[in-house]
Amino acid sequence: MVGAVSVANLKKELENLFPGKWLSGGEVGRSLKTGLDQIDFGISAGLLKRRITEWVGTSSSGKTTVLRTICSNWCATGLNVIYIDTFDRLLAADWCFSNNAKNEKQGRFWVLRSNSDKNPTERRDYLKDSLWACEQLIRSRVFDVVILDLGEKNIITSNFYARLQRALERSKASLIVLKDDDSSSQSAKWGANSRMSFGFSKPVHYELGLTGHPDDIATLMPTITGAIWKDGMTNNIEVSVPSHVQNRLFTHPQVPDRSTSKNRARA
Amino acid sequence: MKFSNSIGRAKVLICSKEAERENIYPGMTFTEARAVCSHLVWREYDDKFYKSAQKKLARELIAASPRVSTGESGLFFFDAEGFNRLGGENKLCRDVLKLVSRHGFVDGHIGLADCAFAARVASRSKSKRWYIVNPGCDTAFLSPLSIDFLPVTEEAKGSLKELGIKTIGQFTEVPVTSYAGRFDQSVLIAYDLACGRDSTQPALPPVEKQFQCIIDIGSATESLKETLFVFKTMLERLTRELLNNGLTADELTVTFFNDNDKFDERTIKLIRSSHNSRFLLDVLRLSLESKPLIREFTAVHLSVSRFSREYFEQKKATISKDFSSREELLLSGGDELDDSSEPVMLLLQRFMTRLGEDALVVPVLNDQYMPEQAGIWVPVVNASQSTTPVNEEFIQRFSDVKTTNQSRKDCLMPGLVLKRHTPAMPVFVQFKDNDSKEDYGEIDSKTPFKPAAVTYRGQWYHVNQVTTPERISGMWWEKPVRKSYYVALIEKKPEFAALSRAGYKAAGVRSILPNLMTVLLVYDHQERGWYVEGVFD
Repeated sequence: MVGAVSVANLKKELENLFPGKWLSGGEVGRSLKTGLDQIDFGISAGLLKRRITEWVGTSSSGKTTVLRTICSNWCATGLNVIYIDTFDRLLAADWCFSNNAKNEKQGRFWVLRSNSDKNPTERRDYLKDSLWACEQLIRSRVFDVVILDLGEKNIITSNFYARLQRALERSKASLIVLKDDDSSSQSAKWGANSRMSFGFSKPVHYELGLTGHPDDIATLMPTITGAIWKDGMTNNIEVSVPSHVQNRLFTHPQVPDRSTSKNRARA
Repeated sequence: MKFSNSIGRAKVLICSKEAERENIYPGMTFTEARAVCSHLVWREYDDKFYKSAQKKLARELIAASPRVSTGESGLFFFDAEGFNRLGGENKLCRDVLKLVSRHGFVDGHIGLADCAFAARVASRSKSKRWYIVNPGCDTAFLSPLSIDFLPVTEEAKGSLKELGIKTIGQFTEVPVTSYAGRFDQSVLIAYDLACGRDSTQPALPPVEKQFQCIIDIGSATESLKETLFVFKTMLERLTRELLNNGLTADELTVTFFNDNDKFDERTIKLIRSSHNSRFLLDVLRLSLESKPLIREFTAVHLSVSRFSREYFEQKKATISKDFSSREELLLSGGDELDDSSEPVMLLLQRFMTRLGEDALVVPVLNDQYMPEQAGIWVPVVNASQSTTPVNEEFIQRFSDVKTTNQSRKDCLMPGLVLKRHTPAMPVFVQFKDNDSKEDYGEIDSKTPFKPAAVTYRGQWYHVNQVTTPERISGMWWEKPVRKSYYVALIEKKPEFAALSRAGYKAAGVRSILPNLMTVLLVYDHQERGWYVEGVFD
């Protein structure tokens, strides 16, 4: 038994060094590729289907940014993704990457919101509703990836972890539990198959505005560092975010320049 | 309104006097109309709603006359014969108007005549609320009126006017054979109507089908299991009746009583028509689970408040793949996210019943500048929110232009994801050079000014880097907004950064805040205050 585990670990090590050659077809088919090389070809080899992955980081760590990119890749390949936004913290403008009706193969990206701001007087246990919804979504076998955002309330009992795991066994989905948690803490990792932790770090990339003055900064881009934990092994990764000018500033097409008359033939 | 591709471009075809008073006129788009009248609300036309309201009023009008039938929306025909001994026709009109006013329709008009068409024209009298045409005088009444009252096409009306026929009298003077062959069938029908020959007669109202049942349990019941057992019995009976009539339920209404005291009534809208008792029972169970009863009940009334005719649809035939094992089937298979497929419908119904119609949403771009307005959440079920269309091709073209950085190992989508605080978190801000907050509010873009430190959840953070603010104002037609948006990279002050995890626990701080954060710092010029609207995560 010990030998089998060692061989498996060795294979993963070799896969890390020479990606795509050492993992068997079965293992590849059972995992979801994320489109990020460091996750797909590292020790995690993507995210396993029918398993729980913890996606952790402090409240401003870049974990959701990385996840958005991965969701975008999944939707582009036709996978259906649902995000359970327990505390209504997402902005719609950030997630408008997938609703391209022209592409028939495009997967869907749906969000389940609590709408707590609409009914502030209503007494509802939003966390309980989210957990119920998560189980229903997994059981429905409609979605390929279910993302459960627990925010700072990262309290899932062991019973519920077991229930979710049982539901996953009967589905095709992969569950990602997103937590605002200290990445160094690994107390709750037992319920999950793998754990990805993220955090902002220096160097901070920034771009200057039109004036070129050092104080005129247009965008800020801190580096996102992360660590993948799986089967007792850890792998560090680093990802960066390209600069971005808000889409909302470019919603209108440019007014065509009709002032020039250089090319016009003179009468 | 005429619906085009998007609600924003829908045009006003016709509007009421009240709307005109708010400067809304036919031809305006919805966006234009909303700009002049901020409290304009978009509502989908619900044909069933109007028809059911009309049927309901017709049932009430039976109190005034025994034979009542309905015409087009808002039109009723009733028999006014034989009222001479019951106070006369004037009293009948007065009673009918009183009756409809009691039900909220205060702008009713009545016309009384020998034939339905003449009565209909008489009801359009602007000076009187009811107009009675003397018996046998229908033709004389119609004769001086304009041909605009005739139910013919605009083109036919124009042709008649060109021929010099301007009144109904002139129209009937010409023999009908002259119109035959020259005009379409509608003109010939209008000729009969103008001559007082209208076959429309009020009739006894048809018996309305009602699907409802009530069970008086006799003792107080509270448990969910017993309640569901009661519902199961009721639903089996109701669905059998629906099935026999070829109907399906669209909406259920459940009323709970405690000793003749009605304490709970809930209307449950079904996402898809159904007469499957198991599905309906599942829906009722979800409703009871999400909103439990406040007290025990002794009787329950269940009715199908809306139903429609059952229709049959051939499902798309597919060839199933040959899966060698169940595991393979699970991994590869599953149901496609087709909105009309059974699992999706069941899932949507569950969410709608327990969490509400707006729970499941998709993000859609919106042509607005505020971060919270630049995209909106549109419900997957019953999407009624309007978005301003966005030129997606243009965005696509610009979003492809990425600045590259050689040191990067992976290229993510541009920009960080914002997780907002609801409501925005007010913060203290420290400035350089002893500038005050009020001073800052008045500075213009030429005066460079940066916050030096902010508080976040009770801790002071240095502002390491901060962007030039994006100053946005607008929404004056709803609630004026004037804000300056900063993206700030904040770093914990050394004295706090040194604190260990144990130190936090001892200090009673619940969550560990990171040393380095990127936040959306906003100065609200209207409120004259600083807020952290969210963190970039």
